[in-house]
Amino acid sequence: MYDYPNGTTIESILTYPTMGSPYFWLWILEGLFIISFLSSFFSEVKLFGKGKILSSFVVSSFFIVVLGTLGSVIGFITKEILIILIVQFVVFLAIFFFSSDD
Amino acid sequence: MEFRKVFINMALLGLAILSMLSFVIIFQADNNASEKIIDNEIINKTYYDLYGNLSTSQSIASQQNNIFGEVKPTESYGELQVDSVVSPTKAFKSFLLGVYNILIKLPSQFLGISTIVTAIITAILIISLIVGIWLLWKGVR
Repeated sequence: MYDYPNGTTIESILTYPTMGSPYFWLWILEGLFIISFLSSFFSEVKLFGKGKILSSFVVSSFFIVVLGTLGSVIGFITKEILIILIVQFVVFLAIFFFSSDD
Repeated sequence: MEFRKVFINMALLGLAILSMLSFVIIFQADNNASEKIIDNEIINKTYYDLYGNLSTSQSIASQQNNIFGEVKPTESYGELQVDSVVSPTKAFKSFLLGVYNILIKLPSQFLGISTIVTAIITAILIISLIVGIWLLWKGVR
């Protein structure tokens, strides 16, 4: 059996990939962001014939911030990654609020 | 975009950012997270600045409301009241400062923009405000 250097708790197993690549979970969350953004945008296009790309950006950013918060409670998301996710959310939200809606 | 809409959007944006930060900070504190974002100096300063500013605005507004409610009318019926009971500039100053903190100071803290750039943006804003008031006064469209 492979000997995990940090132990065999959920936190240590999830933290294991970050030993080699510190931003491993950021890439995973950004992948989830792209999946949820494309899903919501194209389902909107399919349902209504027209989609709002900025709304999909904001909703997906919010989704990954919530996931990041849960991850930080478990312990495998560092505060640096969470700050990046929050800044991404704030930037998309600001663009969404200040873009003209016509 | 008309001014009223911009103002409402500014307020909504500030509230959304504060709500998101509050959600993350309170959730982490309640669940004893090992890496709290409040430990980060920039986030800590931004959050408490924003929170302090909004709290100050709320307490000033409440104070002004109490003063307004306690004032007894001294003028006789039918006489024109010229003096204002509460100076509106006192209340509006804190609201405007709150919006300024949300729109200029908060993004500059978040994005790590230097104080010189922030000062330049503020100077441009002040100059455009003066020019705007001048144009409004002259009736130029």
